[in-house]
Parts: sequence; structure tokens; C-alpha cells
Amino acid sequence: MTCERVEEQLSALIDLELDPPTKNEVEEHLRNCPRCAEAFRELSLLVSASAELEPVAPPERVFLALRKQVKTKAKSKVFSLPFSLPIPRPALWVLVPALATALLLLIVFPHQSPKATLVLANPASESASIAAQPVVPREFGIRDSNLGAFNSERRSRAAMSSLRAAHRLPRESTPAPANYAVEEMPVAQSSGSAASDMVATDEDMTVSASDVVASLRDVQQGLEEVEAALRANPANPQVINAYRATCRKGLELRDRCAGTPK
Amino acid sequence: MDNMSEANTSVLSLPSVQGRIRTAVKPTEEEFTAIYEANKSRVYSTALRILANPADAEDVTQEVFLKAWNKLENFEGRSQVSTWLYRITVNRCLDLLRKRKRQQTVPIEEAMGSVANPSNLKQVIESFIPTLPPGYRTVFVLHDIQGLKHHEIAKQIGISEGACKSQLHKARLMMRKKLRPFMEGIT
Repeated sequence: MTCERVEEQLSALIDLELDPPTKNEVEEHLRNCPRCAEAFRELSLLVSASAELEPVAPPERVFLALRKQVKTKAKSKVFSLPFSLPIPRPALWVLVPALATALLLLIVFPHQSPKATLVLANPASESASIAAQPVVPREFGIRDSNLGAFNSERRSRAAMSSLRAAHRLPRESTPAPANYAVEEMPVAQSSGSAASDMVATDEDMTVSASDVVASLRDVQQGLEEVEAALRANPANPQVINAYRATCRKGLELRDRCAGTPK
Repeated sequence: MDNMSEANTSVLSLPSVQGRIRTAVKPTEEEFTAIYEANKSRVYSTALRILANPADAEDVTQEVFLKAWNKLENFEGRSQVSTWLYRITVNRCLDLLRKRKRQQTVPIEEAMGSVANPSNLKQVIESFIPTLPPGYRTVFVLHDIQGLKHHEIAKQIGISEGACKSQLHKARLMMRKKLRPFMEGIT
């Protein structure tokens, strides 16, 4: 066996991986070749010393940084539910802004008068049961909200109807109370209610722009707080963006209602 | 403190940290600290020796334990927690090595300068590990220092067992060549 061939086998010899005939051949060569024997000795020394290398402990700052991150993550759990929802996470990214928008629409028209409720409260109308539910107070804020406490979809549909009517207001009419006829409301028209129910006074469906502005300011403040909290914690940026978009919509709506577009 | 003594102190006393136990709940901070204390040196040493960069090794250590914090409740217990952490560590190191545009090796002169005690062979080896090319370095660290088998290394880094043996042999020859001046007096 040549020196070159023996050198190739040295690692296998150290790791006890050679078959007996090859092992005998290599060992025989090592007994007669000082150069190869020295190589074997040095490699063996290297392998045995390497196996005894001490583990190196990381600096203390690694644990401190880690503990900080773990605590931050634990704090961010404030925004998570104490139970798991059977809703996939991506769906929540859509659901959360949708709920926020629905909430916005509800807050835009919090003070429907009793007469207006009467108009909507047609037994044949789907909106009857919606309007019969308690109206969300103007002071309603994000932090105090209980999103599961009401049927947001159906209520937001009613609010949307009001909103559609509200958008027909001439801009000059604000900030003074703007009047519009209830006949223009798609909900009322489609309800097929009796004419007496349809005849509501102008004041019935009047929207106070100042109320809208005040409500939206509250909403804006609440959403901004949520956004700040989410930004401070490792939350998904898509959620933050969704909240931001909702804030923007709220601001646009406020400007439109107040007649001071940017 | 070496690996064994670390593992024998706090970890074994915590049932949720023991291997082959499905941890259905998130570990408490105390348990997490125990997991960290038991495995920190092995994780950091492996990362430091494979990556040859203390800052990267610190980052990897943090990532590995943060992952442990997030995922330990879903740990299925098919292996020991320490094995699982170790596997994450090696995978993360390999990812980093692949992402690096320039292969990071320390020049021999720099390694020579960092040897504080030339008569201490273990210290000399430690100083010269970063001079190996990353591929050889990884196999050398995993086999000769961490004691993994060739088939385990081959599986983890995605090469054949033969290639693993070949790389290890070349790494050893390279190290021997660099360490020869320090080995002359040692028997």
C-alpha cells in the first residue's frame, strides 16, 4: 500500500470504519513508514482533542435580550382572545377591519329618532328587528366595545341605508342640520310598507353633522390607540394597515359630512 | 460548566422539559429559563464554531430559543427537546451559510494571533476552526466536536454519507497542516 493510499485511509482508521483486512494492511504500513505514522499520530491527537473541546457559554446579553422578547410577546397576548376561534388567521385580517368599518357606520348615525325607528320598524321589513335593537351610544369607543354583543352585519346594513341617504345631502347644508325626505331611503322604498309609515317628517331622519364629527373623532382616537398598541407589539402589519385604512375612511367621512374636504 | 452537568441540574427536574413528553401548554418562564440554561452552551458553541462569527452565533441562539418559546407547546415529543433545539440550530446555521455571498473564513494569521496559550492544543484547535472553509468546518464541528454520526450529518446537511466522510477527512488534513507547529512537542 502506498503512502498516498494510506493517508486516504487514516481518518477511517481513527473512526474504526475499516474492514479488518484493510486495517491490517494500513497498520502494517504505519509500522514501517515514520512519515505516515507521524501523520496518524497528529490526526489522532487532533480528533481526540477536538472531542474534548469545552462548550462556550453565550454572553449574558443574549439571555437578557431573549427574556425581553419573550416578555414582549407575552404582553402582546393582551390583544388575543383567551380561547381559540375556529377562524383561520388570514380570515381575521379581513374580519377585523370589516367589523371596525361596520362599527364606524353604526356610530355615524347613533341618534335615530323614535319616528325614524317607526318608519323602519315595518313588520314586513328585514330592518324591523334591526332598528328595534338598542342604538349604539354616541360615546361608544373601541376600547369599550364588545364586538360580539350585536349582529354587526345586519345592523351595519341598516346603517348603510342611512348613510346612502345621508350622502345625498347638499354639502352647503352642513353644519346646520340637514334635512332629507325619508322617501329617498332605499330601505324604506324596498320595504313595501304602508304609506302612513312612509310619511315621516324631515326632522325624523335628520343627521347632525356635529354629532357625526364628534363620533368620528372618538372613533379615530380609539383606532389610533389600537394602532399604536399594535405597532408597539409584534403584530402583523396587515392588521395595522387595515386599521389605518379604516381610520382614513373615517376621516374622509367626517370631512364629507362636515363639508370641509381636504 | 459543561454540557452534561448543565443537563443534569435543572432540566431533568422539570417534567415538561424532559424529552419524549408532549408539552401541551406553553412553558412557564421558569421552565423556559431552565431549557435555556440546559442548552445554551451547546446551541451557542455549535453556532459559533460553524458560523465563525460571534455576532451571528448570538443571533442564532436567540432565534433558536425564541422559536422554542413559540413552538414548544406544539412539540410532538418524538425526540428530546435538546435534540430538537440542536437540529434547529444546525439548520439555521446552514441557512445562514447558504445566504452569505462571501464565504466567511478567518485568515490563518488572525487565528495565530488569537492563540493565547500555544501549549494548550484545545485552545489552538478552537482558534483554528474558523480558518476552515464553511463546508469542511460544518462537518468537522458536527462530527469531531459534537459527536454526530456520518449518516446523521449527511441527512441534516443534505449530502451523501460518502461525501460527508470525504469532507471530514479533508478538514482533518487541513487542520493537521495548520496545527503542525503546535503539535510538535505534544505526545
